[in-house]
Amino acid sequence: MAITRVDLATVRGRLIAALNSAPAATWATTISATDDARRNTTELTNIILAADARVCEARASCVGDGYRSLFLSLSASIAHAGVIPDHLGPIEQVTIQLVAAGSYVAGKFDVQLTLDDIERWRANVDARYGANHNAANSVLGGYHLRRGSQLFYTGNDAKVQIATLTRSAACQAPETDEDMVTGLALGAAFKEGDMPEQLNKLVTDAREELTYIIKKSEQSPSETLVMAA
Amino acid sequence: MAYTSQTLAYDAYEALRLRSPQIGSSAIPRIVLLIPSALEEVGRNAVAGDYDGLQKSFAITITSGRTDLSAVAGLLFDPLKSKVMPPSSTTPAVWHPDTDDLVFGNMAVGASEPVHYSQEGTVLVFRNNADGLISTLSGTGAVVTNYVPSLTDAARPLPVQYEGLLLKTLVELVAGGGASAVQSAQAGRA
Repeated sequence: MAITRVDLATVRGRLIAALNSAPAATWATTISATDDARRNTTELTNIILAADARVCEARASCVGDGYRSLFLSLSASIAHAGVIPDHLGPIEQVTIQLVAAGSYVAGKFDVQLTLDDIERWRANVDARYGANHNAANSVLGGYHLRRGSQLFYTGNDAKVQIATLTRSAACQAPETDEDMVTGLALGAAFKEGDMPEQLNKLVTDAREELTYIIKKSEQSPSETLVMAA
Repeated sequence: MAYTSQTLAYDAYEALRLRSPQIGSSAIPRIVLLIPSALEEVGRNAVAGDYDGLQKSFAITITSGRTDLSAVAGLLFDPLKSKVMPPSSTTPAVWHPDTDDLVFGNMAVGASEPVHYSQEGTVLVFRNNADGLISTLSGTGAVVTNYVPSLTDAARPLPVQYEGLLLKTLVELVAGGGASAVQSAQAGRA
């Protein structure tokens, strides 16, 4: 089921109401004056999208968060000893294509596996282990090990499930996070010294909720759940 | 279905996980390395136990009364449990334990007697029954003997009835070395 995202226009309307700042769309500048309560439409939009990005980043970074799936996708192919592409938070499952043109399957990892194993199995000197690591029916294919951002593996190719976020013209946080986006945007929209007491709670709650999401992250699955793979 | 090194390693791994659940799948390539040892042990046990299932006829080339058995891979030749057939003969050669007797002609082999043979290391030496000489017997003979089975060599197949024994042997080999080593390493890490 597609998850409805936060509606930018709705949050902007709430911001305008809260700030009592009818947008001055006719302004030539996109940055309002410091002594003027009103905000330019572009300025409000940028504030909201920045708040939305903070929420998305928190959701996308946290393993086990119910909405992390909104930001997960399979990376491009990663060469052996290649660098895992830019991503938010820990990586999830490493998938490996055992042979050329084959499908991708869950990579195998356990605590006994070493980098030396990977390199030795890739070399398969004198065909000691039978078929090569990227050949059909090989016992050597499908193992992976990470060193920092580098991925080492046996098999023909590897891709990793990673979370990414690219800001766009629309909000991307799930609609249930509307209050959080609004509160964070409010906190950023108020100019120094003019925070009304009655709105302070909305901002504080939003910041606390964001902190909660960040703190509840679980361990990366690729280092734990694949133990039995 | 006949075992491949892959399916045999998988079966051994599954069996080992019942004993030691903490063994990870990276043990599988390590298990593969022990398959030749397990096959050899199965072959040698078959010799010790007189198992006919691991006996078959292998062609040997005799040149000037001699043939080197090491040229035929995997033979577990034992003169007391093997049968050697000289070229163009249906009568097995007779084992003669004293090589000197055979080589230096201290024994007579008449034309009506079977070919006699002895062993020098991996080389079988034949005394021809036609002329009593060693150097005149040449051709393709055969030896029916035990062998180390192979998963890939069709000439030395693993009979299906030996698959269980091979798996058991492999598991014992791994458990005797690999599995306990893994446990020690993990205990050291804990």
